[in-house]
Amino acid sequence: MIDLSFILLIGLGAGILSGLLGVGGGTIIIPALVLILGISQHVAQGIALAVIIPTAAVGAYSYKKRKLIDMSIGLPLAFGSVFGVVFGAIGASYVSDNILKKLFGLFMIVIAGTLLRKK
Amino acid sequence: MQKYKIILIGIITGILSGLLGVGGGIIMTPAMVLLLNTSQHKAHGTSLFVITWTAIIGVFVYWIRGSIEVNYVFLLVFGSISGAIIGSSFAAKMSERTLRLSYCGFLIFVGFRMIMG
Repeated sequence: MIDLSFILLIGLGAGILSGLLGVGGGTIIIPALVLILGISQHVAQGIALAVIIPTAAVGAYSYKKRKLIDMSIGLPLAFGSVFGVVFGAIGASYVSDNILKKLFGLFMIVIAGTLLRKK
Repeated sequence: MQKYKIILIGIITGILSGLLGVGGGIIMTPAMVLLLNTSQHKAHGTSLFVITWTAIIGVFVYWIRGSIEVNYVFLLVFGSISGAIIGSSFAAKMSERTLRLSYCGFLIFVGFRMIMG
């Protein structure tokens, strides 16, 4: 029961931040699930990816209504990305949980670096 | 030539997205703005379109590999959609800079904890 309301709270926090800054909720959801609830890095990543689907779809729909999706870029980009994600996801299942966790930590620090450089 | 460049950006984003369970907007959006001269708004919209399809295929692979917990997904989706509505209505009232700096602080602190832990 504590777990359930806590998970809801994690979602709320991730949503508020993405509404405010427009950044993905994955950087909130994954560490919270892993560090606080002790869920494995692999499962946390699968969960985060699933949570992204409805959020991104709703966002994409509202941009589409305002004609702010460029399909001449979007289609080849999606083609490459769908191809790449299969390799990435299969690759992840061959990496140990501990290494994957460290890689994710490194990724967070790299994002912080790019955000700090932005004026 | 341009098409191949776009597909290559897509492949790199997709690999990272599958490997780390993230959307990949953090790579795609600046790549579109800097390399393809897309406007910031269009880059944002286009990246959301790409993320939707990438995440669907990615989840499918994670699901086959047994790394999905459906109960968690529903609660998190419910929480994050409510949060996004709250967040976007407050966005105008808060300083973007303060917010961005606190988020960076969080990323660095938690990032190091994940590397050390």
